[in-house]
Amino acid sequence: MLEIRGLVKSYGKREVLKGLDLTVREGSLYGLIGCNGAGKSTLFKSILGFVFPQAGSLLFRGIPTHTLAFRRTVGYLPELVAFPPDLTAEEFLAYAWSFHGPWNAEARQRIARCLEDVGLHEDARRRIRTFSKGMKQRLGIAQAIIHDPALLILDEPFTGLDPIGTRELRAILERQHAGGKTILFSSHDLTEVQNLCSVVGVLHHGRMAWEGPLSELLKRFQTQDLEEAFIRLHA
Amino acid sequence: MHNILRYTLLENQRARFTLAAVVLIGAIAAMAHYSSTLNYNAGRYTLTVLAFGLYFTRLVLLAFALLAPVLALTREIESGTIFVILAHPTTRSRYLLGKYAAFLLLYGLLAAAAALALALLAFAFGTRDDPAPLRLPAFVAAEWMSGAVLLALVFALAMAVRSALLPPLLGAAIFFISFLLEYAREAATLGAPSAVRLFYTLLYYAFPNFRLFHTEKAVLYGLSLPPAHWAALGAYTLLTAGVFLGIALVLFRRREL
Repeated sequence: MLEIRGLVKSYGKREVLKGLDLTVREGSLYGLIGCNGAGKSTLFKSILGFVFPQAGSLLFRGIPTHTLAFRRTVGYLPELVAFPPDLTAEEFLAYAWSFHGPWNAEARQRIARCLEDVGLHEDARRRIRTFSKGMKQRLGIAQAIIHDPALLILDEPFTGLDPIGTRELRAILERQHAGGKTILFSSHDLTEVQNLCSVVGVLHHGRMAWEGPLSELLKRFQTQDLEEAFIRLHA
Repeated sequence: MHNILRYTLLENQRARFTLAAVVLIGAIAAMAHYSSTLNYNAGRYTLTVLAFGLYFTRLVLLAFALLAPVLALTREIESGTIFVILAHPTTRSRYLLGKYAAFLLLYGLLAAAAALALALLAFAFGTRDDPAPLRLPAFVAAEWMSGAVLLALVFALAMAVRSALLPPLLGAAIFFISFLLEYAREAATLGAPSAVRLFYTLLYYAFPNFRLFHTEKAVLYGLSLPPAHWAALGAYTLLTAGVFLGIALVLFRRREL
């Protein structure tokens, strides 16, 4: 379980996260939604240790998330995913794997399987600079799952994808979830969140305005549309 | 750390580092060869070619050390590639040290390849019995040590200033000031008041001294560099590069991405 309590993060005088609490249960597919500037990316960066919160506790299975032990159990896709442009997809996955284990036959198999999982096996030896946005996004997922992490954190994974790319990514996430992974992702695409997630968190001005089962949120506002519920919650 | 080193080398190779190095070394050799036709040190081809060649090589190495790591680090941080790397179980220290080791290796390879090209030129067109080209390894070794300090300085500046432009400029300024300070200190010893002498002496020791690594005279004129000189140079390199790398690591660990 990922447990965040009382998370406070400010940039100068601007307080982005104001005592945020969040709980992601094992095996759940958790959708984090919120307006621009609500603090979603800052939350993820705090979890991964890229920014340093002023207060709060961040634990995954009881392990503080700023430790190397946590990074062995997490896969992360940043909002604007970027790679060394002159490496091939296969080489980059080998690079990602090199942080987790030795280079051997198992590693090769794992890389091949990951590339197949995200549908990039035919482009394994192409340089990343020739990849489309959707292909980079899928490579981002591949590097996040290369070590079979227990938790996947994906920051706006659907941004900039065309309908086919969106459908492919949705299928990848569903497969990963079915395989037992806990997934936390943020999105502005409320239809995708509604299609995929059983649990949602609504972030508003650095605080959790709602956290719980999607069905309860819809029931509270007596609607079947997450967008409608989101707008009314903000109102 | 070795994986970061390895893939940084691979990236540089793919980004046509090898091609750029061959072109630059070719240009160094061509300019050095052309300079011999200017009749400088008439009749001593090897001396002229090496004198100019080593000068051009130092300029190329200086430009490489000032620009390449800063551009690479800034690009990785600004583009967000660093998030994908650091989300895996590695520390920021290992990341930075891996990058440093990669650029230090490239710097050494560039110095060695340029020296080899000059040696070949000297053997091909110079007097066969001139031993100067055989002393080029001393130049490469000293340049590599100089590169270790300069790269560490540039890494520290890159972590202190969030800009791709300022660290190379500051690095170049510190590099050239270190030469000027040597002259200023020498001038100050000639009858300047003791306070001025003290000021320049303190400044002299506070700045990294890149002039210590100059071995052109030893290479060209066969001046001996005793083992004690190399030991002192090595110790100075370890100490100075260590201090700058330490600063870079502390700043990077505190930096929000």
